[in-house]
Formats: sequence, structure tokens, C-alpha cells
Amino acid sequence: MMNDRIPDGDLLERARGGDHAAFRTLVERYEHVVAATVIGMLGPGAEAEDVGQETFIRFYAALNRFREEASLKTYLTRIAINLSLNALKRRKRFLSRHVEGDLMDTIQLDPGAGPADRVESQDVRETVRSAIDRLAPKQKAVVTLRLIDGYSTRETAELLGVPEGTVLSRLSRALKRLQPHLQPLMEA
Amino acid sequence: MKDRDLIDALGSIIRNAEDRRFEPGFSHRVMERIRAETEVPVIVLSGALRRQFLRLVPIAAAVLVALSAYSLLGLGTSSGQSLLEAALGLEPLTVETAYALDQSFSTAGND
Repeated sequence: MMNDRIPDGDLLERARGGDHAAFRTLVERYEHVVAATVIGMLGPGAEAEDVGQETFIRFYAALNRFREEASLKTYLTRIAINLSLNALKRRKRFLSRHVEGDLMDTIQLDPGAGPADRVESQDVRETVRSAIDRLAPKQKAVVTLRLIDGYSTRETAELLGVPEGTVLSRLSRALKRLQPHLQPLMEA
Repeated sequence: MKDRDLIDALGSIIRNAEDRRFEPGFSHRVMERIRAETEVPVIVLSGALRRQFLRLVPIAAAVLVALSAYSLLGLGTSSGQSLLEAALGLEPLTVETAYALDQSFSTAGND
């Protein structure tokens, strides 16, 4: 493995010159950033892995266009969030084509009665994932960036290309939707 | 509960709930895909072309030498042709050959 102390700029320069080992070091250095975003958006599994790989492939293709004024972390997060939103659109299209309406409502929209009653029989992970999956994709993006990745409201707004007020309103709606499902975990 | 506290509390639950890491070997899989999508087709194609080219070059060169030798031996360079014209098997260009060509075209046209 290449030395972790080599600055990103040097690795980028070497990767642009065709040095695969340098690019691989960048992947290893930032895969946790991309993983936090795509798994936060899509949940763990093959789809998240595929979007994660695609994020780095897009980055590789754009190596010569990437200007280092933007931080690499922010740049990769932006690619990851856009690809995740696309994946969610594809998922929604797939569900609307292949799943009966009533079932789709259950999967996507219906929060279900009495989430608190079910918490005991559910794993915490499933409860959280199920709560996040009920959010609209744009709310999910805000929750992922603000709550999971730890970006500020302003940074989240920049990453999503929307005003800060939009981030705040999406976050507020998302919290209202999440709270009843996660309340039992907060009290635990 | 204030929004700030709610964000912190929910954020903490969400962050701790899932293991947000890819399976081990992620960077290797990324590099494999990059190789597969960018380099391999070019390498395979250029390698295959180079092999075909190298196989055909000696055959083409031998045929060229043989035809040139045949033309030189058959026609010679005595009729005012250059060596190159003779090697390429070109007929010497004279008024007679030009008329002969014209007649042969006319005959072919009448057929």
C-alpha cells in the first residue's frame, strides 16, 4: 500500500500520469466517505456497492477536469449523492412497474401503525433503515449529508445545489417523518 | 426537544445503526472495473491487430519481391522504361500501345 502521508495533490498528479497504484490509494483513502453517503442513501447491499464503484469510475474519467480548488471529499460526495439519487429514481421506476400498487404503498409510503410496538421485535438497524427508506429521495439526501456525513447546512446546500432554506425545510420535514419511528430508540 | 438536539439525537442513532463500509477489497474491485472499462479493450484490440499485421508483413513482402522479379525478368528495361515501371509491370507507353488500348476498349464496347 502506498504511504498514507503522500498528499492528495501528489497522488492526483501521478494518477493523471497513468499511475494506477496512486489512484488506488485515493480510492482506499476516500472509500469510507463514499460508503457513508451511498449506504446512507440506498442502504447496504449490491446496489450501494455498484454506485460506490461508479462514483470512483466517474472520478477517474474526470481526473483531468478535476480542479483542486474543491476538496476531493466534497467532489466525491457530490458525485456519490447524484448517482444515489439516480439509483433511487431507477428503484422507484422499477417498483412502479413491477410491484402492485397496494404493495408499493406498503413498501414506500405507509409508515405503518404503531412503530413503537414493533421496535422490540425488530433489529435497530432494520428500524433505522426502514425509517430512512420512507423518506422522499431529496429528504434522504439532506438527512444523509447533514446527519450521517456531518456536513453543515451551508455545505449541504452547496453539494445539492439548492438554497440553505430548502435544506432546512427538507430537513425539518424529514425529522418530523423520522421522529415517530426512531422515538423508541431515542428513549432506549 | 429543540431541532438542534433532535438532529444530534437522530444523527447519532442513524450513524450508529448501520455499518457504512463496503465489503473488504472494494478498491481492488474498483481498479478491476477501471481496467475492464478503459484499458482492456484497447490492449486486446491493438495486440490482435499487431499480431495479424506481423503475420501478414513477410507474406506481403515476399509477394511484392516475387512479382517485381517476374516483371523485371519478363519485360526487361530495354524499351526505355525506368526500373520502377518495369518492376511494377507497366507496359511501355508508346503511340502504338495507346492506339492498341483504344482499339481493345472499342472492341469490348461493341461486344
